[in-house]
Amino acid sequence: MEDTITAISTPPGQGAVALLRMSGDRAVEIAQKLFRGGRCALAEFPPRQQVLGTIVDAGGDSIDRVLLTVFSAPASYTGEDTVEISCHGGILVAGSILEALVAAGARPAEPGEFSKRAFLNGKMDLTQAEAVMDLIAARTSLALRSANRQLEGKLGQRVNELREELLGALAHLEAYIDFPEEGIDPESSEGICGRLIEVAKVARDLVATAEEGRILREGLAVVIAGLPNAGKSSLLNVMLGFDRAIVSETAGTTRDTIEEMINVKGIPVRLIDTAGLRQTEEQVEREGVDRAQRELKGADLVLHVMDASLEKVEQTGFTEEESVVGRRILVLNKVDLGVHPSWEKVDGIRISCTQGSDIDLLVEAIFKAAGREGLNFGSEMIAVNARHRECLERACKHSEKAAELLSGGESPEFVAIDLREALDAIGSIVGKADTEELLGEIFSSFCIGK
Amino acid sequence: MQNAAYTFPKSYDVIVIGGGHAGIEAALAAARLNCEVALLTQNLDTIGQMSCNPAIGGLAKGHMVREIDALGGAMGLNTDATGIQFRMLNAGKGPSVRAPRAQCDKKAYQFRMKHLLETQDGLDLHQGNVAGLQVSGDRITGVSTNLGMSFRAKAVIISSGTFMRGLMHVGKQNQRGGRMGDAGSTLSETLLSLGFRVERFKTGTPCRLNGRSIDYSACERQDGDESPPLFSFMADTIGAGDDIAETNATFTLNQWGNPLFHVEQSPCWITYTNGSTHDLIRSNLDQSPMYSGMIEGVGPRYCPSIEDKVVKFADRDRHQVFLEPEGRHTNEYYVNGVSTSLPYSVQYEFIRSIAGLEKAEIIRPGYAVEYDYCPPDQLFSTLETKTVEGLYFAGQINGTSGYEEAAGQGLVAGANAALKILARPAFTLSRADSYIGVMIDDLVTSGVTEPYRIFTSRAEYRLLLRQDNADLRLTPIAETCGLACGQRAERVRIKAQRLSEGIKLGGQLVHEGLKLDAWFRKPDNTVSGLPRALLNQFPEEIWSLLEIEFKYAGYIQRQATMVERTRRMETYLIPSDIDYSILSGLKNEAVVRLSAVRPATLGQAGRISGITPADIAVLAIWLNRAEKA
Repeated sequence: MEDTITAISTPPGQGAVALLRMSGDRAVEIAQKLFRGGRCALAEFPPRQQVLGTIVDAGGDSIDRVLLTVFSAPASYTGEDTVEISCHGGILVAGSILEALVAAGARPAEPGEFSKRAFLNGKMDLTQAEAVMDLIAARTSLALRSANRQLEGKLGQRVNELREELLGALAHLEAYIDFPEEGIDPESSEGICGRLIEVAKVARDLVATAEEGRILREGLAVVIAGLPNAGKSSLLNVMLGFDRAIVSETAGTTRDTIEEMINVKGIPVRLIDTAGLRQTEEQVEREGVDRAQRELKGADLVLHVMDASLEKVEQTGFTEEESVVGRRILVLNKVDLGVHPSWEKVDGIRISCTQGSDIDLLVEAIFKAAGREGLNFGSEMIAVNARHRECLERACKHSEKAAELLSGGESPEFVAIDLREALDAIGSIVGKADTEELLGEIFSSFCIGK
Repeated sequence: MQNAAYTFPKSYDVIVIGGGHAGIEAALAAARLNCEVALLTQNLDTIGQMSCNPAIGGLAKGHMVREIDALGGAMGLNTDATGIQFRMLNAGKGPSVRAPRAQCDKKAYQFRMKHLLETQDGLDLHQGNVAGLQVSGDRITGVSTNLGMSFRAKAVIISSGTFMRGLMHVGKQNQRGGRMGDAGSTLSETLLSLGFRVERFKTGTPCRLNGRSIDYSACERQDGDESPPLFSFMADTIGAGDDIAETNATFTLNQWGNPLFHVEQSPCWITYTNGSTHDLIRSNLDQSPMYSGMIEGVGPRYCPSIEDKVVKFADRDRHQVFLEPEGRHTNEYYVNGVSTSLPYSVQYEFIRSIAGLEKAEIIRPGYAVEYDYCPPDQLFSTLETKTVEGLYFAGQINGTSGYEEAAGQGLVAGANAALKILARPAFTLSRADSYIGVMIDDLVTSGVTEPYRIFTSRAEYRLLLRQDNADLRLTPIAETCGLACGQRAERVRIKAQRLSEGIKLGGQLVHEGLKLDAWFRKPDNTVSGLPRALLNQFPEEIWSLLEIEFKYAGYIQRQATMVERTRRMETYLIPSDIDYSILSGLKNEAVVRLSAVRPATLGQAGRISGITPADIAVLAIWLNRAEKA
C-alpha cells in the first residue's frame, strides 16, 4: 500500500479559489474524516461530481466551505483514488486544510510526486512522460536550490547534527545486538536516552521556527477586536495612515472583516479589522460577528480595543483559550474623552485614535509581542517549511518513543525500529543514511572482530 | 580454451568446482533435485574444511544456518552432529536477535560431510584442479583440469573460496596458495578472458596453539548452554536410527536420546592482550605486509587483524582473545582475536606476552591471504552470471566471507542450476522472507566494497526473520521447488496448522479476565504462567511461538505493513535484455549503473545507489509501454 499524499496544487498567493489534491488508497477515507456535507458518504458519492460541504479541523471546527470531488482509481490523474478540494483563496485557508489533511493521515507530497505516481500507474505514455520529467527535474532542482540555500546555513548544520546523533545512537544499539561477544557496553543506554531526548528537543525547537517562517512569508495575523463602537476601525485607519474603513458613531458599522498589510519595524503584519462582538438578531451583522470569531481563532495577536471613557465591563466573545495564551494586547482607546476611574489599575496601552496619540507605544507593543511569539529576527534567519516541519515532527516523535522504550528496558531491536524511523525522517531533509553508513559508524566506533 | 586430451565419459547436468561450504550445499541441492552432479575439488581431504575458526553460527549467521536447514541443506545437521559447544547468543534480548552458535570438532565436521557427499545419490566426487571453462557461444559446456582432463556439463558452479590466484603472507615472505598447505587456482585468468571483472580481497587468520602449553588458570572459562540450542529442525533424527535420507546413517558425535540431545561440551577460554602486546606489535609494524603496502586487497572491517586493532583503536588498553578448541581428539586451539600477518618471530613474541599464553607453543602461524573475486553485480539473483549462461558463482568468489554465507549461496546456486536444466521456475528468496534473500539482494544490487558478512542490521524486516520460524518461512517454499520433502515438509505443515489454531484460540479464549492474546501482551506474563490444562493443548514449541506472536503482535504487524508497502515495486519485472541507453530521459549515470546491475524488478532498481525516483519513473513508463505493445 502506498502512502496517501496531499499538496496545495494552486500557486501560493492571493486568488479567488485554491485547489488541494490528495492521492492514495486512503484519500477518500481521510477526506471523509474532515468533510461535512453531501447527501451520502463520499465513498458512495458518484465520482467526478462536485459536492458542496465544509472542511473541519481535528477539533471539529469548520475551516472553510469547499467543493470536493472524488476521482476513483484508476480514472484519475495519478491512477489512484484522488480527492480534489476547491476552497477559498489565500494561503491561510488552503494551508489550514492541508494541515488538517496531514493530521488526519496524509503525507505532504514531494515535488513531482503526483506525476511520478501517474507514471508508475501507467497513466501517461512516453512522450507525455518525458515532458513531465523535464518539469519534475526543473521543480526538483528549484526545490533543491531553495532547500540548499537553507541547508548551507544554520538549519542544515543543526539537522546534520541531529542526524549524526541518531546515527551514533543507532550504531551503538546495532553493535550491541550484532556483536554480543565484543563486550559492548549496554550501560550507556542511559547516555543514549539522554542523546535522544536532546535530539527531540532540538527538533522541536526547529519545528517552532516553522511558525516563524510562515509569519515571514504570510505576515503576522493581528486581529482588532472588541465591543461595537470601541474604535476598532479608527485604529485600523490610524495605523494604516489613511481612511480605509468607514467609521461612524453608530455601533455595528463594520460588518465584514477588512484586512491590510502594514510593516511593523520590519515585520510584515496583516492587520484585520472585525465587526464588534455582540449578540445580535440582525442577519448581516451576525455573519460579521461569526467572521470576527473565526479571525480570532487564527490570530497570532489580538488587539482588544475598549472604550476607556466608559465604565469597565467584562468583555465577552473571547474564548478562554485566547486570553490564556496571552496573545492579547489590551488597547484603551478614546483617552482624549477622559479615562473612567474603573480603568485606573488596568494594564493596557492608552491611546487616542482621533488625536493619533501614543500609537507608537502600540506599535512597540506589537513588535515585542511578535518577539514573544518566537520570532527571532537576528542574523540566523532559519525557518523550516511545511515539509521540513513534518519530517522534524516525525523525527521528534520517534526519538522520544525510542528513548521511552530504551529507558523502559525494551530489548534494543525494538528500540532500533523507532530510531530508524527517526533517522529516516531526518534523512528525508538532508539525505538518507543507508546500511553502509551505519556499518561504517559501527566499525569506526567499536573495535569489532573476534 | 585448449582442447583437453581426455574427456570423462559421463556427461553431467551440474559440475561444482570446490568442496567448501558453498560447494557442498550446491552439489547436494542439485542432486536432491535429481540432477546428475559432479563435485571437483583439488583435495578430497579438505572437503568442508573450516579454514578459519572452528565455529558455526552467531548473530545473523546462526539465523542463516537455520534457514539453510529449513531449505533441506546439510550445514545445520552436520553442525549439530559434530558440535562440541553450543550457546544461544543474546538470550537476554528479544526473540528475533537470539541466535545459536556452536564450536565444532573440525575434523569430525569434515569427515561427516565428506561421507554425506559420498553417499548422496546422483553425486560423484572427483579430485582435480580445474584450470579452464569450456564455453560455446555464451553458454557453458564443461570444464577442464590442469591434468588435461575435461568434463562435460550443462551447468557449472564455481565456489573457489580464496584459491583463485591466492597469495599468502607471513611477514614479508609470501607464497602462492589459497590456504596454508594447499595450492592455488588459475581459474580467474579464464574468467578474465571471458570478460568478467576480477578484483582482489584479503582476509587473515590467527596462529594455532598446542593446548598443553596454555595456562588455563590465567583464563576465564566459557561453557556451553545446558540444554544445547541446536541448528537443525530435524536434529532429533541424528543417530536416532531412523533411516531418513538426510542423515543417511553416517557417524555422529552427538545423538538424540529422548528427550535430550546428548553432547559432551568443551569449554572455550578467554584472555586479553595488554600494553606490552600492543607495544610489540606497534614496534614491528614495518614488518607487516599490510602496513608496508605489500597487500593490495581490501580486508574486512569487522574482522580486523590485531595490527589494525592496535593502530585504529590505540586508546584501548586490551583486546579480548578467545581460545577455541578445534576438536575433541586434538589439542589444537584457535586463538580468536589476533588474526595477523606479522612475521613468525613477532607472532611468537606477542602471543607469549598474553596472560595464560606465556609458554604457548605456536603449531601453525597466522597469515593473511589475498585472492581474486568477481564483483557480484555481475550476477542475477539466481547467482547465474550475466555473461555466461549456465555458469553460477557461490561463496568467496562473490566477495563474501563466512562459512554460513557461502553455504547459503551454494544452496541457491545449486538449486537454480538444477531448476534451469529441468526447465522449472527459478528459486529466489526475498529480503522479506530470509537472511539469505537479504544477502543475495545486497550482493547483486549493491556489490561489495569489503568481504561481505551478514548482520542482523542489514535486514529491514529483522523482527520477522527469527531463527525459530525459519522452517515456517522457508520449508514450504523449498517443498514447492523440490528441495525439501518427506518428514521435514510434513512436520512444518503440522506446525503451521497448530500455530494457526493457537492464534485463533488466542483471540477467543479468556484467561484471567483477558483474551489470551491481550494477556500475553502484559510484560510479565509468559507461557509458564498458564494453567497445565491449557498448556496441554499445544506442544511447548508451539507455545513459545505463540508467546512471541502475541507479545510482539504490534511490532510484527508494523513490519508486515512495511513489507506490503514495498512488495508492489517488486512486482514490476524488468526484462533482462533491456537496452538502457535507448531510454530517453535517463541520466548517463543511471544508464551506466542500471546496465551494470541489470535489476530484475523496479524495487531492486530503486535500491541501487545513485538511482533517483525520476529514473525509476522513466523506467516504469517504458515498462508499461512495452507491456502494452
